[in-house]
Amino acid sequence: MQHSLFWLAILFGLGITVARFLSASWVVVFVLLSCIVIILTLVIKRALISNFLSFVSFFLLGALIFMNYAYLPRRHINNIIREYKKGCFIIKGIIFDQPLEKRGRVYFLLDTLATGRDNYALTSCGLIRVCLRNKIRLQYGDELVLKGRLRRANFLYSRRPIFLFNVEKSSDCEKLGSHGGFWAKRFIITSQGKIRELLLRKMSPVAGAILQAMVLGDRRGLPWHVNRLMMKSGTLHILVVSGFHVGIVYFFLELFLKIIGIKRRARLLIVLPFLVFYCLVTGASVPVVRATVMCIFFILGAFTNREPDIYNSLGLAALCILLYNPGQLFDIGFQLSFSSVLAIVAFYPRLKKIFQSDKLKPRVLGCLANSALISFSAWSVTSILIFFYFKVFSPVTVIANMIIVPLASFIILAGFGLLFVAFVLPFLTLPFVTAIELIVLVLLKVNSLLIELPGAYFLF
Amino acid sequence: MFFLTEQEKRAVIFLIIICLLSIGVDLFRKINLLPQRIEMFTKNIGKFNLNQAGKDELCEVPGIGEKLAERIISYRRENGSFKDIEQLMNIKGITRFRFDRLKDSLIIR
Repeated sequence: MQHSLFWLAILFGLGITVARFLSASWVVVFVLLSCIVIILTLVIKRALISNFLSFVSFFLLGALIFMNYAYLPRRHINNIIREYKKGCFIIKGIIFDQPLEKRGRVYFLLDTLATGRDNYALTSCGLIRVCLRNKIRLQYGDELVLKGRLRRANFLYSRRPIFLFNVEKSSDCEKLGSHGGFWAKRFIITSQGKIRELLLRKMSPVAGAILQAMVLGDRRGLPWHVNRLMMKSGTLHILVVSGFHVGIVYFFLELFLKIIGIKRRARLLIVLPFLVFYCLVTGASVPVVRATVMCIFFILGAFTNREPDIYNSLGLAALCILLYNPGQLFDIGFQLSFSSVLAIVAFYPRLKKIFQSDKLKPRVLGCLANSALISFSAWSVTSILIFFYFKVFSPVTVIANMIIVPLASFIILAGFGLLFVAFVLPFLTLPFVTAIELIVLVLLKVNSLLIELPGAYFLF
Repeated sequence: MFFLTEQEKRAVIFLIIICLLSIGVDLFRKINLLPQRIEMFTKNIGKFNLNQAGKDELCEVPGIGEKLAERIISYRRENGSFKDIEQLMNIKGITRFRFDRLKDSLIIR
């Protein structure tokens, strides 16, 4: 079947959506799915019925996986909190990510171990987001006891931590030790910190924050006004690590290995772990996981001399993400990432055929027309989602992307160059820093000019 | 319409069986993971160590202002570390009534 993985991913997603909005017992779905699999095994030779059952089983699998995701154990902090009335809580847990210091406060995720009030505590599990005023230096894996107030936060549905824990006094935080956490995650966080240090050593705050977002995917330090500016012009996607970044990493690694004379198959094998490492260092967000899975799919295709299918690779990437976390289906990041790629893959070849953009002379005009068509293809779908979530409609996005994406590409390339130079020849960093500062300035100016055009964007 | 090959159907069956097993184990674990009552892990959380707290930290305690915090620190400097919380009453401005209010927010280590 053509694009089989793609259609299976669609059915899987449909199952998740139905399970989200309709309530059914997971036991019933579990038993039903088991029966269907048994029947499917028996009638596998009968084409029509086995096909139908395969699709139904994938639909039910999506529903069941979402039910399992949504079903929280009795020990989960959300269930424990329900048993108490409002008030102060004492929570013991281990820091789950790298704490972020911002405006005199520290923010991090805490994996809870026990939750209590004045006299006793209950063992618990589940993540909460903590905000505390603290002077102690905290890091991933630290075991803490905290006292504060819990409140439900309005996060998007897919995100697990739904409680905010506010710790007001510095004495309400007691550090017990720092033995928790997973060594691989600690290694990734340490690498992130070192890369950040190399990147931002000589950069100005705004350029540094933009570079950090573009190269490392860490948008936490991004100024509010830059975020707003990019949102209005519909070019916020350049501040997210995506397939483009993964492509650059792949391209340069492959080129470097080719120059030093390594054979093609060996090159592909060497590149794979680097791509996975880059995916993890950038926080394994949806766009970068999608791009990495697609890239691995293509590499494996090349390795086995098989023609890779873009729809299937997209389907496989979606399945990988949704099997791990089915709630991601309702996350705007997931929807924008997959819909934009799908729109480009589906519409761009057709539009190119209609407008005959390849035959335009001179060739530069053809390239410009092609980039406009790619931008338009992505915008035609993402603009609907952006309007739905942010109440912004930006017709200027099509033109903005044509100007801003090349500029962003320069920044990303210069960022990777800066990283390499800072690591190997630190005295040569200044030209890179100056170039990045200049391009960031041009990018922000162009963005400001574009959104001042009449009818550039409409806020609802 | 869309037809899966026999190999693809086998792959689907394999994937679903793996998923069913892992979901079954996960759900069983979730159902049996009940909260257990344990001893409260700390009794001193939220309390400042009187021998280490700085001016800013002392000011966070309800009932201690800037002047009183300065007096506590200078008392500590002149007489060495606090050995008993009742020593607080030797400081000018701390009456029995005020001491009763403060004693639950402070500890001595």
